[in-house]
Amino acid sequence: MSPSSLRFPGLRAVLASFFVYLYLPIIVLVVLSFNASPQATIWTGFSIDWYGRVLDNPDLMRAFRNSLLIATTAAVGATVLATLAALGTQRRQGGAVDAVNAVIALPLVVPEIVTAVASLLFFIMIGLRLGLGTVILAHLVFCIPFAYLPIRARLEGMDAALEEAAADLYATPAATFRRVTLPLLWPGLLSGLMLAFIISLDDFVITYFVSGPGATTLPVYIFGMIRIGVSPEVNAVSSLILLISIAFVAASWVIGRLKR
Amino acid sequence: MASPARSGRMLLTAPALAIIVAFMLLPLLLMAYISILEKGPAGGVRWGAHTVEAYVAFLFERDLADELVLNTDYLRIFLRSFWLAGLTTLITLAIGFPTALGMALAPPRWRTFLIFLVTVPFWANLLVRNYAWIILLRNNGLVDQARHAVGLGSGPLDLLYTPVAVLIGLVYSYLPFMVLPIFASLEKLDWRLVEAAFDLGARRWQALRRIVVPLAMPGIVAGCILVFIPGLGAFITPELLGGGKALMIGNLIQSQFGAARNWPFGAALSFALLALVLLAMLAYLLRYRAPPGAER
Amino acid sequence: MADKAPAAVEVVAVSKRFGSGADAVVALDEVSLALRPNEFFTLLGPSGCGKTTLLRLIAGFEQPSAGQILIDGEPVAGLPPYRRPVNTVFQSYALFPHMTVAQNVAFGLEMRRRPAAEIAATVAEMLALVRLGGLEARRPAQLSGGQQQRVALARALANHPKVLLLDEPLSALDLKLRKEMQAELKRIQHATGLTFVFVTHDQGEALTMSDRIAVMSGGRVLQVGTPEDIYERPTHRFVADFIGDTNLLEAECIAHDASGSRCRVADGIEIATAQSAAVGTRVTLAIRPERVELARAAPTGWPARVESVTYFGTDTTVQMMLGGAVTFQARVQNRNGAVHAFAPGDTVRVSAPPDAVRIVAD
Repeated sequence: MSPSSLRFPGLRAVLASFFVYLYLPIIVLVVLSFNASPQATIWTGFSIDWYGRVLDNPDLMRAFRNSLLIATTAAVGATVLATLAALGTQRRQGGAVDAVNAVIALPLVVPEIVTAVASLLFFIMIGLRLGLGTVILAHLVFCIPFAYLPIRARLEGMDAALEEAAADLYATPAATFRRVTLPLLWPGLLSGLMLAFIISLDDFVITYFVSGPGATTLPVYIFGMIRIGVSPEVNAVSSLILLISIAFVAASWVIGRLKR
Repeated sequence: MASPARSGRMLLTAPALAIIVAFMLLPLLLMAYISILEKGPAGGVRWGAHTVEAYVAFLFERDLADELVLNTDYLRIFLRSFWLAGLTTLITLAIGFPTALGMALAPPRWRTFLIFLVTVPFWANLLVRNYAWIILLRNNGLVDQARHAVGLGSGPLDLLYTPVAVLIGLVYSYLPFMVLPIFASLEKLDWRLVEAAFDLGARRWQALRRIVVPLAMPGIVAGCILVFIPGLGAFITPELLGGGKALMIGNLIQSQFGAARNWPFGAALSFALLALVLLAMLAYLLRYRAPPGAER
Repeated sequence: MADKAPAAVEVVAVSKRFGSGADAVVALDEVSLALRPNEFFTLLGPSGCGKTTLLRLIAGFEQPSAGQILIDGEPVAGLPPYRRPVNTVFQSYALFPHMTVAQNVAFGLEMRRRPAAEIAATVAEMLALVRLGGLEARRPAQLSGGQQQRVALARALANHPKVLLLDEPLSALDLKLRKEMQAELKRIQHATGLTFVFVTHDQGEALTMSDRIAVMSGGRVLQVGTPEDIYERPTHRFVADFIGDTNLLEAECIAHDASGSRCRVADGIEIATAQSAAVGTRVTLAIRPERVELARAAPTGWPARVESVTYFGTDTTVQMMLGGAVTFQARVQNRNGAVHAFAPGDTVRVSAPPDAVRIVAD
């Protein structure tokens, strides 16, 4: 409902330069990943050799497999837990629901570095060996709110009368869930799953603290590479991880908008 | 509609709550407790030995004679963190508000696509986004090359590994956090109010200042908090773009678990950061959260 | 009830409270009703009067706090909605958006595990009944509001319920479509011979469609009767006021005999009613404006001064002051075109036949 009478001069230009600013660094990075020169920032010609190097790096591929394993486990687990929680608070209000929502939002509020420190101390104190297990646990925690939000939004947007209509038409609670609630929840569920997956895949700070030597993930490995220095190989692997993120976000966005 | 079947459903929240309480709330409490323990001789802590030494260490250190002497090193890092996070907030607001306004006034069919464009970098890997700025800012990097190409000076600018570089990285990292909430409140704004202001003789800028900005205030404040809080606890950006010369609280905390091996101090720093963040959130909720039911 | 067949729905002293303790809201207060088989029964009242709550109690979406409900003679206490022989047409239609029209209509039959051939036949029959043949494969989102309404109806009717519950089903439709669907609902009710329980806040809809109406207010049923009963012989001030326009006059009963009573509204203004009331009691009289007779120079009647005259097309409303203190209105049909004899400031004589003057409870 934007009025045609409200125009601010130069707003289009502001908008355009904002998006240039937002995307230029990313585009530069991707372009340079195809640079033939081993000098990371001086263009000499087109090449996909660096991608080949990345795929041939066994440590990097191991880190990538770790990341996939962790993200898949944490995202699936978080989605299941978040779905149950969202069903539990569906169309309810009051203190108890506010409290549940506050606890679930906790991982979003606490600064990552604080969560990282607290998790590290906790795992050491209870005697858990740092490794894939501790990373998955830590990821499970912060993935829950990201899965919960779209699922709950979807459930809250659902007309309460639909479930009543199913009951009115002789569907038992189990049949109502299977035939009506779940099919309508599906896009929210998928969208939550993907967001949780991408958040886990991208996490660096918490993983860096709780991963231990055997459980290096892709971001932790890339961090190590960046610390050594700028290189075309880092450009290539960074571009790959960007591509994965953007693909997932785009897919999640499209699914989230389905059948609204 | 509180039938018995529905009240039992609340139990479905138990598994998620249990996980978050066990692996988030308990660790935070443990961290708070460790912050008041003595540090062990070879790292770790001495259980049962309580002390506020870690908090004293924010401002003082012990000299050879075991006397407390003022040490402003850590205070400087705290102040720098506040300063950088605050400046980041101001700059993102200055860029973010006009952008959000532009998005809100864009034709509706464009609007969803613009939101999508803002959200994509928001989800893209933070490490990678900061790395992109290393490429741009480093000596003879693309900024230098571009500068030379248009004849603006020669030689390197020496931007990387300075507080300025950290500031640039922070602004870039958290800009979407500012744009999205402001856009959300502008999108809900009833633009007929602005037309009414015009009708009453307001000029464009007056309408903006007197009508649009006040009504977008919840979004503006939310955006500021969403930028300031992670800015204060930033770790990746000062680590990559500050290169040890522009340390922030996050780096200080991390070093207590690395080289320095002073867990109680690290825990105390984390706890102080958490307390600051929770205070900011509380202030926001008290000021801007409508009483229950007022909005619906 | 004297009928041998049990009531289609019997509601016995049902109360419903939401919340508990001091915050409890009483939505229904000891409501009792008996619905006859095959009747079109309407629950009429303003929002918050408890009509939808009563419907939801019959459907089983809520359980009563006290009292009991019988459907076809069987108590249904504790039975969940999916075990009750009633079906509902929801205000929002509540069509399953992920299913086609045919799948929506088939849903209840599938849930009761009817054979596939029977389901197919019933779906076709029901879609024909609501005149939606050919739209089987559409999704609800591809239908107009009126078509969605018909699907909701077919979906409920497909189960051959003993009672069909309709929760303000026409409120989302525009005026023209609403008129059309009113007729359609009556036709379907005749064709199926089902008991319809129809909830509405629209008095016009209630009057034209119902066999009987229950007027509700504040969680109680004030009056049950045919549309004519309700309109011509309201028993409560609320009923008279809620349905149509009415003049409400405070009066005192001064005489009564076999043919009725005389009541005094103000000095010199005495009104005869066909009902009886004890001498000396304070009563409220309700008189429909169209039953009021106006004359410029009749020998009898109460003197009144015309305050305003408003033209409404088919009729004209004359607003008057009775005895200098009581406002009063009359509706005069414009049989002879818009030419009427009254203008503000005129003095007129007003009268009403005794059977048009009703004593109503507060």
